[in-house]
Amino acid sequence: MIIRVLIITLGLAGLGLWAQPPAQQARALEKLRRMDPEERERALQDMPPARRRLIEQRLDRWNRMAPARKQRLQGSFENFRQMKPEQQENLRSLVRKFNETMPAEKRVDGRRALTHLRKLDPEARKKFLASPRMKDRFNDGERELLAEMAENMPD
Amino acid sequence: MNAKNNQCPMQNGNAEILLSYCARSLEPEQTAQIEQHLTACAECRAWAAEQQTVWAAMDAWEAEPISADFDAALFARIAAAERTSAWERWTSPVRQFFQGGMGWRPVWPAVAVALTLVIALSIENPFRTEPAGQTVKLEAQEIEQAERALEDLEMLRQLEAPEEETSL
Repeated sequence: MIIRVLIITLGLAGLGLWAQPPAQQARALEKLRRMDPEERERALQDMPPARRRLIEQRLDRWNRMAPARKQRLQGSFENFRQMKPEQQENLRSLVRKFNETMPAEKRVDGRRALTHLRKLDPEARKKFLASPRMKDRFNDGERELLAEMAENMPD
Repeated sequence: MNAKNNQCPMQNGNAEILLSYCARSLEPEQTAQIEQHLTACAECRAWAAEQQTVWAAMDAWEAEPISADFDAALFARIAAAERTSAWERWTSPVRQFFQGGMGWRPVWPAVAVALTLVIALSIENPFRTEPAGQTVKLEAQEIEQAERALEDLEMLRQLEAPEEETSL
């Protein structure tokens, strides 16, 4: 019994760490999500229209997402926020580069390749990236970008 | 690789031949050799199957049409999940822990970690649903935090393969 009480005490003490600032982002998102349309409009009324529209679109997409996918993304988000701030910024920058430099018609295949690359060990990644079909689809810079993204993505 | 001599490409560190096989860029004779090897080597067979799955997806994927009742079914599933998940997550491990029915003596460190996570997730789950009907107010700083969370979630969503998208 004493051991169990000790375990619970240590667990509760650990909650202090769990509640550190990054969780506030997700809590704020949940509050925004729970607002009715009028409340939300009032809360966002001082924002520039384009920025407000973007928030509303993303919120709508999040609300309509299938539960299984939402749960998976929450897991990725948790892993992402466990990364160091500079690692987070690095990944954001790589994704920006992906969206800006990868031609639109290649991005879907790029996402498939990324998903596959993340399952491979470093040696297999190299081989996959050097395969003739990958070379057919992606140029050197694009393949390097995919490799770097796979390496820096959260689990 | 030399499939003719029954040498395994994976064990020889020569996966390129398998990649070429999956890319259908081998000569017919080499293709036949690899196929013969694959009948006997589970490791190569699994590796090749994985590659072919990826390539098949890249070659053949098309978005499926959405059925007429998609939205209604989706909202019903969301509502059902929100009704049941919290109770089940809460009670099962805690009840088992206090009843001592888990055979926990050799595994109590794992139980402790799991219990801590269960408690932490239940109390501090950042995505926890607020009670319905409660007035919600957001400070300017919280709007920025929510905006940042949405931005990061959008980024992570974009990184998933299209096949993982069950909606949107």
